[in-house]
This record gives sequence, structure tokens and C-alpha cells, in this order.
Amino acid sequence: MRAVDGTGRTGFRGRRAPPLREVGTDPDYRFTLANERTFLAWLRTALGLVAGGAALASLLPGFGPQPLRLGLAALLLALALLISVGSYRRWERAERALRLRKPLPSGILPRIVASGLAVAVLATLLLVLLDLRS
Amino acid sequence: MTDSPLLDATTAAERTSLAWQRTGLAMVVTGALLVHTQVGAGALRPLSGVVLVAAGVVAAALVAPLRYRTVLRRVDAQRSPLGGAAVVGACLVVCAATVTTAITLLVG
Repeated sequence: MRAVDGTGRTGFRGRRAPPLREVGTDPDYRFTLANERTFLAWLRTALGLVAGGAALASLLPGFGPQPLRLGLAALLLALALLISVGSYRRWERAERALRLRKPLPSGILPRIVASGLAVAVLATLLLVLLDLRS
Repeated sequence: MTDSPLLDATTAAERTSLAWQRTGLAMVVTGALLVHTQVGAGALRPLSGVVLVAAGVVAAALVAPLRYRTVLRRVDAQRSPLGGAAVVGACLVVCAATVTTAITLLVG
């Protein structure tokens, strides 16, 4: 079992990391605000994906083959869920690192979102091509 | 004057407030779309869209200006302007909207 080290990781027994305010010392307020704005930017990205998924699933009934269209909508909504959960995790871990004067954690969210969106773009291209042919 | 800490704080607080405003507007727009796409399919279905619109109005009209003042006050008092409650609230709203959208549009 790993001891709780304050970086947001929990040990194998699932002990929670201490609350943010009790960790380290207050960082430069500009870093805290920049971290909050980054969180909000991720949240807006998730909202955009929700809008795209909802539009695909129900505003464009005749657009391309239905399974592909609904599959793409499901992918966008799944990405939106990953981002909205991940945005908080990233905010929390970044703030923790700031308070502990540690380097910011990198995380895998950008990689997941970039690959997911690449698949979504290819699926959209396929959808448009199939829609043009029919 | 240019290196006055308060002058710096006002611009940083303003950017953060504007980010909340943009996020609120995005919630209103997305919520309106959800209401539109789920209309006419049972009484409870437009709920997630309505909640998202309401949350967006709160974020843009209440959280944004409140955050501006809180940040300036905290920075002035040499305290961290950590905005935990607003962050958790906004995250929960978007998570809930995403899940209900996926359920109503793809499963239901």
C-alpha cells in the first residue's frame, strides 16, 4: 500500500487525498485563476460535443446510414462524458500540484480527446460521403 | 502603476469572470438545443435541457459577477481565490446533462 502523498493519488486501500485547502501553501493567484479558466474551457468543449451529439442523433433523421450516424453521436457523447469527468480531475490535480510547488501533472485526457476526435472526423467524412451517394 | 498588484488582479479576475460567462452561454445554447431535440416525448424528457439552461443563466448572470468580486476580495486579503464549489457545481451539471442526453437520445 502506498501512503497518501498529497498529489491526489490514493493508496491501494482507497484512502482519500486530503482536501485541497489543507495541502501545501497558497500559490500565486494567477495560476489558480488560469487553472480555473482551463477547467471551464474543457467544460465548454464537452458542451459543444453534447450539442453535436444531440443534433446528430435527432435533428438530422435522413443524414447517412442510421447506425453510423447514431454511432458517431454516441462517440461524441462518450467523449463529452470523459471530458466533463476528466476536467474536474485535471483541475483538482493541477491545483494540488500548484499548492505543493510540484510540476503540473500531464494526464491522458488530451490524448484521448485528440484520438477520439480524429475518429469522429473520419466517421463524419464517411457519413457525408455515404449521404452524397444515396 | 503598471506593476500594481491590484491592476493585475482586475484583468485576471475579469478574464476568469468572462470565462464563466462564456461557459454559461454555452450551457444556455446547448440546453436550448436539448429542449428542442427532446420535445414531445414525455413530460420529463425536456428536463435535462431546462436544467442546463437554468444552470447557464446562473453561471453567466450570478457566478460570473460574483466570482469577479470574490477573486478581487481574496487577492486583496492575500488569500487564494480557490473556487471549489462553483467548479464542482458546473462539472456536475455538465456530467448530468451529458448522461441524460445519451440515455434519452440513444437508449430511450
